[in-house]
Amino acid sequence: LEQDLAFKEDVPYLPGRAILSWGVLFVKRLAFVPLMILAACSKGSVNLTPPPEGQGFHFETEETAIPFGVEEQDCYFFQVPDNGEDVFVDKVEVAMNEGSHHMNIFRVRTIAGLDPANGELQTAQDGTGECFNSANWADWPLVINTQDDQDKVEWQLPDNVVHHFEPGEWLMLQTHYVNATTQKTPYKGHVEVNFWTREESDELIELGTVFATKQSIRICESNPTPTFEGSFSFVSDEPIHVIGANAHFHSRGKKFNMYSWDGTSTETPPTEDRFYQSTEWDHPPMARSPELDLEIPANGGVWYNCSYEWQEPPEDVGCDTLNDIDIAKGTAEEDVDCCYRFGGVVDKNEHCNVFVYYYPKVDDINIF
Amino acid sequence: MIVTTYRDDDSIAEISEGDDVEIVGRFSQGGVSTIAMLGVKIRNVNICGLQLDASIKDDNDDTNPQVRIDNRTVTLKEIDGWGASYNLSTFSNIPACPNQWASVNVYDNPFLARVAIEDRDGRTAETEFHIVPRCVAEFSTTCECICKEGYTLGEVCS
Repeated sequence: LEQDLAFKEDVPYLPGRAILSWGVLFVKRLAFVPLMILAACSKGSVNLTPPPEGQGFHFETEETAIPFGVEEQDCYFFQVPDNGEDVFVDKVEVAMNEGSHHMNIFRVRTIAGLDPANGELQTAQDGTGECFNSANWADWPLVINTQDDQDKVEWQLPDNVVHHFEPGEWLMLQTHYVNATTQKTPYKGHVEVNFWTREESDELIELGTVFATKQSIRICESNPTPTFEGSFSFVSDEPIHVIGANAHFHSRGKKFNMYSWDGTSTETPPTEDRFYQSTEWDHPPMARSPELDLEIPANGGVWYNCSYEWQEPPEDVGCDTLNDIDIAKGTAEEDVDCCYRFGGVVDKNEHCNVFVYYYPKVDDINIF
Repeated sequence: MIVTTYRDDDSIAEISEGDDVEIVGRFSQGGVSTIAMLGVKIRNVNICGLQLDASIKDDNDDTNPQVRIDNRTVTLKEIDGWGASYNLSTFSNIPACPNQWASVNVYDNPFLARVAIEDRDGRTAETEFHIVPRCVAEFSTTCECICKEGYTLGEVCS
């Protein structure tokens, strides 16, 4: 970690510099930012050494200042290198500056409000903008996610298990940095990712992913300790292996569980079937192989539940703001109840999101 | 206990065996998901912090009767002497589509709905009957695409 995750104190940044090549895809952009400020603020940024040429590709975001009181969600578009052949990735590394709320990478599919044609970087702040609108990536399969801004994620997939990419496939890397009441960004927002590739082989097994989110959650003062439960199944005649899992909610979140599920029962599975639990909203654990390798029975799936405890909103938010959001989303004025609804802004909204990685792939699964 | 459903035009209807349930979408916001909404209208229970469990089962396939569920803690609203589901979050939002689970199209085929409640004082009620999910006409093209048997995530639906 110390060797690979060096602080970037002496890396010169050139505005708008972009280098793309097979083997190493390397993008650095800091347009419109004075270099003097850069020199002062770049200290503290993470740095991943890109894979050697022919062994993978690398992507990194800008260094983005996050003023106090701001939540910034940035959507970066980049392409898998294109040398005319499919690309197989069996190891991913991710490093993020402290203050990151999440980093997700998706494969671009149906274009709605987010379009790579509109630029490599599309930013949004404080819940407003297309990069905050999850409907825009409702059918975009998950590639990788992390919420760990303390340690580098280094995930070597099991033998012969791979992410399979089309040459030139568009990907979207989404960063969410928060410098607000419940979460702080002490330096700048910055993320680096390495994708390590391997040769094609008849023995390769494709990785599948699941991104499930409950958009209808509402955590209210008069119903202060709700639990929401959902499930998804892998419709496969053969057992599958779950090898990665993590969960995401905000500061009202108290407990997030995932269980192995038979795909047909309607009761919460027993505790002995639980394979994941998060009780730390701001540092949720990520379970992954080799420690996690859970066989799910044929046609089975995953059951999950997220439990909350309502809190008084921060002073600069207040119940009036939450009620205004509720009314704007269709709640009648007489029914407002200082409720946190689904959404990306940490101090105003809640989430109940599941990320699961499995093989062999049946299909990528998204549940909104 | 009477089972209710939330419709795309924001109305609420009581339902029983064989009735239609609209699969409510978020198409107008650019989304591609559809939800079957099942709620309750009930008497003689504590309506605060009530556990509402609902599911739809694909019993068109005897060998693989997959289920989709949504369970949640809700506080019902008192309306004319009944405790009732009254807005989206007080209904079970069952993720019907994209259809990566059922053996048939999720629209225009019967599915077995189950609704169960338990209040804080331990009182319970449960019922099940068949419903027929329907796509709303205004969004039928997208709905029938992502709710069809064999839909693949990211498939072009235009």
